Amino acid sequence: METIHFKTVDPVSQDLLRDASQKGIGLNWERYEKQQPQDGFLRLGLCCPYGCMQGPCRIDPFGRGTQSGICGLDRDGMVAAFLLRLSLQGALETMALHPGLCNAEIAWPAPLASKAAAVPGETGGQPLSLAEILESIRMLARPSAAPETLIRQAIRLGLLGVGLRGQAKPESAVRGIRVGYGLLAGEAIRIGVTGRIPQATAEALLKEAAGLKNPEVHLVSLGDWIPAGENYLPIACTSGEAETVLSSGKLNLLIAGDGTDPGVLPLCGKIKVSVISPANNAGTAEILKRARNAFDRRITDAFTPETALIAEGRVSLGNNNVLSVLKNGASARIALIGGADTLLHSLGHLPTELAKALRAEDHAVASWGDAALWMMKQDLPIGVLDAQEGPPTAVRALTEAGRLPSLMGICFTGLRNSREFTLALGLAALGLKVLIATPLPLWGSEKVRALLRENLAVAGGILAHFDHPVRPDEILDWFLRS
Amino acid sequence: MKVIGVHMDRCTGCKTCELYCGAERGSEGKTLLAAVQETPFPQPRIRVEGGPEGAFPLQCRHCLQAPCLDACLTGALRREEKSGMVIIQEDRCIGCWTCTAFCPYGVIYPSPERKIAVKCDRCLYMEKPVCVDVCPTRALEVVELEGIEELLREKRQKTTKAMAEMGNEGIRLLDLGR
Repeated sequence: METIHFKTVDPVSQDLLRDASQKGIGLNWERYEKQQPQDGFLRLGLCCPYGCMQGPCRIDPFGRGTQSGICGLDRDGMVAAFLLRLSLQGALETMALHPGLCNAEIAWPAPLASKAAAVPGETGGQPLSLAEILESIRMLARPSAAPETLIRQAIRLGLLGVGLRGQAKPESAVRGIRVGYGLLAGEAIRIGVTGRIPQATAEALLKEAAGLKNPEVHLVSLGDWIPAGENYLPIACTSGEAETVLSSGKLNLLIAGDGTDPGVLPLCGKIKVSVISPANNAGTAEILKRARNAFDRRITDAFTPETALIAEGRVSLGNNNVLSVLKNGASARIALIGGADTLLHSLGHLPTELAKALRAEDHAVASWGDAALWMMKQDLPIGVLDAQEGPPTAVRALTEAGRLPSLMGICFTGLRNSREFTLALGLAALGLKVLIATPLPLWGSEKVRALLRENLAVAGGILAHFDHPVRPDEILDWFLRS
Repeated sequence: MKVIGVHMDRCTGCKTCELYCGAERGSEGKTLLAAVQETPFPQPRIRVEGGPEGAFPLQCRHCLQAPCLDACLTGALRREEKSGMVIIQEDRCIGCWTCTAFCPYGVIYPSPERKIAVKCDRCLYMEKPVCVDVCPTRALEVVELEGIEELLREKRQKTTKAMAEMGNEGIRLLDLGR
C-alpha cells in the first residue's frame, strides 16, 4: 500500500488502486510484482529462439557454465537471432495492420532515400522488398547465419516496417480526442471498449446511443485509440490503467476487442461486468440492452471523479497539421516522445517529466500513444500524433518540409508490441536518433550490441537503450548532449 | 539456526537462483543486466545441478562439523556465533583453496581474479536470501533447524497415510533399494 505512489503519478489512479487492494481485487500490478524477478536468460537474450525443440538451450551469462547450445550456437548468434525474431514479428504485425500495402513499392522522400539505401547497400543485399520477410524466415529456420548477417537483416526489416507505415495515407487531416477520468463522472450507462473493434461498430453504437437520454449512454475506450467518425472514441485512461478503471465498477458492460489483455476477462468475471466480443456479432440494440440491464442492477459505488478531469485535443494526421504542431515559437528543436505504458516505470512519470523538461529547454514536443494521453491529462501543451502512425508520419512530414535536422530525437517510453520495436529500429536505420526506455534483450552479447551500433551508424542513426529502466534525467541528457 | 531447504519436487532447474545470486552478491551493479557487463564475471554462490530426471540447487550447508573450517589454514573461515553460519573473512583469505578441496558438496568456489574463495553465507545480513526470494516456484525455503523435527514428522505421517491407503495385508518393507 505504501508503494502505490510509485505505481502511477495520477492521484485518481492511486485512489482506485488502493480501493482495489482493499477489496482484494488483483490487478496487473499485483501480477507484475508476482512475476519478479523475470527470466534472466530471456532478459539477456540468452535463451535460444530457434525451434528445434531440443532445448530451450541457454547460455551462462557469467561465463563459467555452458557457452553454446546443443547445435553449437554461441551467445552472439543467440542474441542476434533473438533480435531478428523480434524484428520479424514486428514487420509481420505491421503488414497485418496494413494488408493492402503488402505489395506496394516503398518510396522514401529525399534525403531518407539515400539513408534507407545505405544499409542494404552496405550489406551488399538486394533492394528492400517483402522478400526480406522470406529471407528472415529462412535465416531463423536453422542457426547457420552469422550474427553480422542476422543484425543487418533485422535492420532491413526495421526499414520495411517504417516504409509500410509511411505508405498509409490518412483520409482526414485532424481528429478530435478526449481523455480523462472525468468521462466517468455522473450517472450514465457506460460501455467500455478494450482492444480493437471495427470502426463501423464504434460508429453504429455512437449513433444509436446519441438519441438515448435518462440515462445517457457513453462509450469509452480504456486506452486504445479507436477512430469513430471525426473523432476517436473518448478515452477514460491509458492502457496501463485499464484494469484499474474496470475495478472502479463504473462500467456496465465491456466490449473486448481483438488485442484485449487476457487478464481483463477474469477481472470482469470477478467484479461482475458483462463482456461482449465483437466476434459474437451482437447487434447494437443487443449491446445497448445488455448495458441497460447491467446498469439497472448496478450497486452504487463510492468512485465519483470530477467532471473537470477531461482533457481535449486534436490529433494531427496530415503533413501540414503535423508540421504546425511541431513548431515552438522561434525554436527549431523538436522532440518526439511517445509509446505505451510499461509497469517498469511509474505510470505517466517518464512522459510528463520529459515533456516539461524538454519544453523548458526550448523544444517543441509531440507525442503519441499512452505517453500523449498522460501529457494531455496534465495539460501540457504538446502536439498529438496518431497512436499507430505518429512517428513515421512526423518524420515524413519533416523530411518533405526540409526540417528533418530539427528533430533532436525520438523516445519510446515503452513498447506495447514487437511492431513498435521494429519501428524504432527502422527509424534508427534511417539515420535518426532513437531511444527505447525499457531494457532490450541484447545484454547477453557485447558483440551484438556493437554490431547493431555500427550498422546503424552507417546512415548516422542511433538506437539508445539501457541496462535498467531509464530515468527521465538520463533521457533528457541524451536529448540535449548526445 | 536457519538453513535453506529445498523442495525437490518444485525445482525446475531454471537457474534463476544462480543468476540473481551472481548479480546481487557477486557484482558491483547489483542488477542482472549490469552484472553481465562486469569483468570478472560475478560468481554465484549457489549452483543448480542435475539432469532431465530432476534438478537440485546446491549451496553451502553450513555443516555442523564443517571440514572446511578445519582445512582453512589462515582462519578466514569461521562459524558466526549468533547465526551458526560458516562465513569467510575475505581479508584473511589467501586464495589457497584448500577449503574447496575439502568441501564434501563442492560449493566453495575459487575466485582466481579476486584471489579468494567465495561461498554462500545465506545472505546473512539481508532480510532474506536472494535465492529464496527469487525462486519462481518457491522451491527454496528458509527453515529453522530446530523446526526440522516438525517437517520430518509431517513426512512420516504422509508416508504412513499413503501406506495405510494401499490397504493390503501382510508385511511391507520400504523401498530402500531404489
